[in-house]
Amino acid sequence: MRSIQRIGPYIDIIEAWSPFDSGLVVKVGVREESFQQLVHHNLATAVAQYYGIVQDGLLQAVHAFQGLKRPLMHGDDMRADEGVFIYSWRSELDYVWTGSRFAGHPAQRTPPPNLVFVVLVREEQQPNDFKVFGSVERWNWVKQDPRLKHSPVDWKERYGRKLWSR
Amino acid sequence: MKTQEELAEQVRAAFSGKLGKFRPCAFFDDRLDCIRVITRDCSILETRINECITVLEDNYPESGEKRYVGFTIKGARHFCREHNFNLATPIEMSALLDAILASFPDVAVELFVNAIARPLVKKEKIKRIDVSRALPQAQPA
Repeated sequence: MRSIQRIGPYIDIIEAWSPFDSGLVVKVGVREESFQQLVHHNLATAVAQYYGIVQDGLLQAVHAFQGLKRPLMHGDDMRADEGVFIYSWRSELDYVWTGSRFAGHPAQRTPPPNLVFVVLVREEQQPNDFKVFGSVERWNWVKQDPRLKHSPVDWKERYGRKLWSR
Repeated sequence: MKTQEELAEQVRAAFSGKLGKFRPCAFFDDRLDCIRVITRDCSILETRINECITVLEDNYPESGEKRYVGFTIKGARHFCREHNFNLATPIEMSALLDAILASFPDVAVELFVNAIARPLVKKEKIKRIDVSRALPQAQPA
């Protein structure tokens, strides 16, 4: 089992294909403040999906996109939406936390057909001390585009541009 | 691939062995600038209504369970300022949903607000949302 790589503000560091070069691997981190939001609200299924799908699966991404077509302010940055990168692929597995909080476990599921998994990564200020390209902020399922397998439906309306497909 | 036991161990470790009972919640996600309302701990399908609203559905609802389990209001900082909500005090959920209706006068949004969001927050007794984290934060010296 892969060990957790805790460093600086990140509770884990994982690998992803660079949004700008699909042959190059970059490091992305999960910020403690983002992860603690899930823990604080006892969102065990999202945590299970991180360890079960994202942690070892982000390199399976088939498409990468840049920019969310929606308002996103962060600090003084009025255009933070442009600094979000989206990875998508059809994961063959899903996980749901089942049972009690004491004796529960992550149950493996086969995702419904025509869904794809997306992971949102926010670019970090470059360069940074940890050589981390971006922070993993969100992961979930969306419907698949019928014309472009492994990509979210309406990706042209959702995202600024497609960077690559593998 | 991890075994289920290995995965369970990682999840328990993330919660430091103190995984509590899930309760329906509404919170402000600072880093993605959105308000999230989540009423079930489950695998979620996000369906976009428009550039500011997403509805959440349970991927595997059990028999008798409703499939809608929440929603997201994106661009929350801008939205709250535009509607003169005081970020320092919790916002009434009903006022927030009224503002959404006023901002997006179309059938899909009306259906979302009146058929999904209002019944959901009423059933789960989610009355207010604290968005104080959307206020400018003091930068470290």
